[in-house]
Amino acid sequence: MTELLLAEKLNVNFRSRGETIHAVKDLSFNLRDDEVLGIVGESGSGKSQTVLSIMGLLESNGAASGSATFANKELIGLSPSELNKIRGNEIAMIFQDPMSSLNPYITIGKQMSGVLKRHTKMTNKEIKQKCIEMLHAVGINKPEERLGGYSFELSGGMRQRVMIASALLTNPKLLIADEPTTALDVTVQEKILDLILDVKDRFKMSVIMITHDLGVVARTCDQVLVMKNGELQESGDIESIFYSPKADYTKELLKKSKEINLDDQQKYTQTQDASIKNCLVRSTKAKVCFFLPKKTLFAEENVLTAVNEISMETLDGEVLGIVGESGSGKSTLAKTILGLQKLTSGQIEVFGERLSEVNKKELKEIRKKMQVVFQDPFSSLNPRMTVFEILKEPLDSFFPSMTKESVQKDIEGGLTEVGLTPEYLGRYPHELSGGQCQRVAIARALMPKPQLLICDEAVSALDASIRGEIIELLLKIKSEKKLTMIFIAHDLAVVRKICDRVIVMQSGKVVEQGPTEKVFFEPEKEYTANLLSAVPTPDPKKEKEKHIKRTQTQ
Amino acid sequence: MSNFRFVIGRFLGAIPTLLILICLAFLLVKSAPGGPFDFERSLPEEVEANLRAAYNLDDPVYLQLFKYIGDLMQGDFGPSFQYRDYTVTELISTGFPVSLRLGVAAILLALIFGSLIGSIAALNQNSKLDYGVMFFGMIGISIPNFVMAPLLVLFFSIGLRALPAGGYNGGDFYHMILPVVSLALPQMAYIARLTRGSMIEVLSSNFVRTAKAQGLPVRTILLAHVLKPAFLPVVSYLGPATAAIITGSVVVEQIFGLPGLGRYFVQGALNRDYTLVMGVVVFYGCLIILFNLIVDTLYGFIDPKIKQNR
Amino acid sequence: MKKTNSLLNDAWTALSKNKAALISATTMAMMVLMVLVGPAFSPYTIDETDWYKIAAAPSFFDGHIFGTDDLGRDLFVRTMYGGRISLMVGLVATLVSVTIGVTYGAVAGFMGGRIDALMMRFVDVLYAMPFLFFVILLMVFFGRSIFLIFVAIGAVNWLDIARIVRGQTLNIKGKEFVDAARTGGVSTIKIIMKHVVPNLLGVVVVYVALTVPQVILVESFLSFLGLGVQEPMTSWGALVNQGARQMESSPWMLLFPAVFLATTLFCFNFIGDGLRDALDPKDRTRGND
Repeated sequence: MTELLLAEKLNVNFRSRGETIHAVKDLSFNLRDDEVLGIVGESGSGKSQTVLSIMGLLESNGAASGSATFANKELIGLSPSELNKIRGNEIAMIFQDPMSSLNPYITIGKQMSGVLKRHTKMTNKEIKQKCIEMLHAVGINKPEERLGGYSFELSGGMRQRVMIASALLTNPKLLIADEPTTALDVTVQEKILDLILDVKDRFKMSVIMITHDLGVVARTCDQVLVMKNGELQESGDIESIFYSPKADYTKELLKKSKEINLDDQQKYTQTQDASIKNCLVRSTKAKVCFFLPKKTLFAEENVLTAVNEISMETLDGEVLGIVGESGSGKSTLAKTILGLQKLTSGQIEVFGERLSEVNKKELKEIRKKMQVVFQDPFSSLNPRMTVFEILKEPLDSFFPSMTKESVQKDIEGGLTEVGLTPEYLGRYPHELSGGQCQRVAIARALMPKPQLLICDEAVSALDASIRGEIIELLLKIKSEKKLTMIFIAHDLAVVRKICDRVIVMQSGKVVEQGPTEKVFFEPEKEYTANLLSAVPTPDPKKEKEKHIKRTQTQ
Repeated sequence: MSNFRFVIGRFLGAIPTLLILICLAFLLVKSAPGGPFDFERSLPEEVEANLRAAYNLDDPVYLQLFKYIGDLMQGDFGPSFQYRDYTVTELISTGFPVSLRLGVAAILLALIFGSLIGSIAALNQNSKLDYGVMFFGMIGISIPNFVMAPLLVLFFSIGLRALPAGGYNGGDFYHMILPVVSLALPQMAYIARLTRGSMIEVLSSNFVRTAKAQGLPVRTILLAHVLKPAFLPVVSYLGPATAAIITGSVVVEQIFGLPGLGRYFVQGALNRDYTLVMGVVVFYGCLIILFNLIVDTLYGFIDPKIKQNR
Repeated sequence: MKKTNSLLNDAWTALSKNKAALISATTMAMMVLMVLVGPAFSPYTIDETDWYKIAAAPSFFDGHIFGTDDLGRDLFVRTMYGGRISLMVGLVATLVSVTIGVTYGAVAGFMGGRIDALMMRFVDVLYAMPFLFFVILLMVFFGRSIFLIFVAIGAVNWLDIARIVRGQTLNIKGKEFVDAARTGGVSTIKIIMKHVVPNLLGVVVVYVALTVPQVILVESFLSFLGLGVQEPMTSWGALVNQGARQMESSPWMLLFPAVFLATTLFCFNFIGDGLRDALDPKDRTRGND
């Protein structure tokens, strides 16, 4: 094995409003042939800027210094025309968001052939042949037809495949993947990661994998760099990083990722006892359709069935998880239960009342007992209201006769309950961090003292460290207030940690439901099993076993 | 086939708009107090009878409207109220060629230089050149052409005595320079700002970063990846630009004494030549609607997202 | 009152960072002051003829600091009065168009669905109309009253605002805080008043600033053609028209009103641009597609 890429004392600085920001500080590492190097860190760790500086793709206010030699050639400070002989040719790169990274205005064929026209002397016919071959190699059906199509006609996973195919065209020695699966569903992520490993072997490349997800690292990498605030914390091979970490930061990252982890065999303390409970929400063949506008006057109406005849119930005191990938209809179901979305057919009973038959006043009474926490902490708080006003609003509407003093007391109490001090009362949402916003949103939901709390992806938008805190907070509140919770998430590990019962949804239908332990350890349906195994765990040995299993069954 | 249907569909879709335009103009004229069809002023009986006959005034209003639309479809805008010997159609066909010449020259000038200047500014973003272009762009959109035109005349004709101050002179090149420039300047400034903005947005997009990562040289990136999306907003601005040029031509023709349609319009308006004014409004309205339609259809062919969705 | 304070604060911080906008705002403030109190310092009135000074050049000694026009009237006083009219038309007509536009757009956006589609289709149709010509028709047929100018110009300029506000309303309506408020039992009217409208204000402020110069432009266009404000009152457009006719012999008649008009438009455009850069949530999607 020889050194393919050698970085020494690499620095990246950004100048912004007279200040200099050191995005990468004195980073040194090396990458050998045929190796997958993972660069892992949370947002702001400088992991992306490292590779962008190597590729000469820094924003105009950024500058790189130090040294990065690729195949014995210095890349830092290379002129654009020299650099253009290497990038796209010997080093290829794929990005996080395949939608915006592909040009929506020109055909896929044109985008792919541009690379070959630049770097090879192939004839047009050969170029077309090569493009088809590559699309085929990354598992795209009917590649001939795709060449004339546009990126926005494809799904997210397909787009990333096209990106990979374009990257492979010139048979590069190094593929840089910058968070290639962050925007994708887990089952799609699994396929894309497998594809990257597969083409790495077939095309004899090295790979740099940039990610925030230790599971992805465990699944794909041979060597790992752990970064924080632009500095290298630890580097080493995958086994030593995962099984004998030295740096405190690595240990902390590993601990956090294992706290919420699917493969943990430990049984969590679960609050549900065996006695028969009241049913708070009962849905019978609930169906929600969206009617899309007609494209022409005489076209048939397009109907999208988001929730397709779902029957389920939520028992008093339980934490019910609803999991599914994007487009599974789980959030629409939540909105329907909340009375924010009309049912097309079927019935939903909440606290014994049929939602389709209640009037405004009755709906308000129901809502008093049922509150919600949404995903995006920033968009769920009105930017023009202070924390005090935000918390006061539900009190005003549900308890209009409350005295000023008791309102003040309730609001301060509510804020303390979610771990914030009354000094936050006068602040606006943009003065709070994401985690603090989510705490305010939880406090608002608790103001009317509800029995049922619906959390719609309530922790999905948060960084891993904050996610843990908010989950702890939710669990604490749940047991203190004897709340019933419906917890909607795409993150299976979170659901596994806090839910008593789980419903698995796919394209608007229930695939499987049952107690968490049962669904997670003895799934009945193949879809559930696939979903579970697709989640990467921060344990390289287990990931290897899973990988071998997958490649054998194929 | 689908292209054909798309185009036909667009054109059929414009018909209601055209009808609304005609009805609006017609009803406005009809309801005007002291208007041509308001016979409170005592006209000689003969004249009144002629008018009644010419405009079918004894019919109910909706029949008159139908008749008017029917005449329009045959290119008949009716007789002029002021110029007794001419029909409105004749006046339009004398004035319009002059206006067309002026308008086409102005829009080409605005389009070519506007997008060129805007692109140069975008490619040198935050440089002195960029700031300079943007400042002059702001001046361009802030000074209306009826202020710009006299100022240009003051400087080039009265001051430098380099260019004629007015007159058509058969559309002679020197006589057209000042009218065309003063008509084009505000649009040129607007197009430059538009181009700059959209090009900067495209240049900072992720797909341009991808193209850079693929090792494509700047020239290729600009031609293959940037040009089309950057100029789409300019294409869709062509409709409003035409409307603005047409309105602008009304004052520019007035200032430079060009015998165009706009001049007839202003004269007609000041002399209360109702039929002429109505005819010009309908004519220009149809022109604007038609041009918007063409631009829209064109856009549908250029932007693949709309192309696929239709 | 905290909400509006915070919005004004936002706008103020945005403007104070933008030098061009700040200078423009200061210039405009001075201009408004000058137009309001300026005539009081002049010994002349708007329609008084100074028989000894017909079309006289600007001079400090006789008090005609901007000179006089071809009827011997003081140009400084006329320019100030013209400015009052132009600025007032700008303000009032903008108010008319913003009121119509915001109401229309907010209703369409909040109703959504078919009503929204229908309302926006109507806007599309109106967009295709040669409105300035209709305004001219109105002025010709219904007399040239200043009230009609306000209404006509205001009624023409609301389309852009309606589109923007509608897009913004749709956007806000889809925000999770609106759903949270509904779950919190807040009534629809209160949601509109407390959640939708305050978040629209930013956009509205921007478009007020951008509509004022458009409206002033239309008014001066009409007045230039002789279809706007009528004698003895005047406006910058009318003054430019008179000046343009005499520019060979007395260029000051053109230059003073032209400079005032252009500066005003220039300043408002800069203020609007500055506000937009700061407040507009980069959401200028085309109409209803």
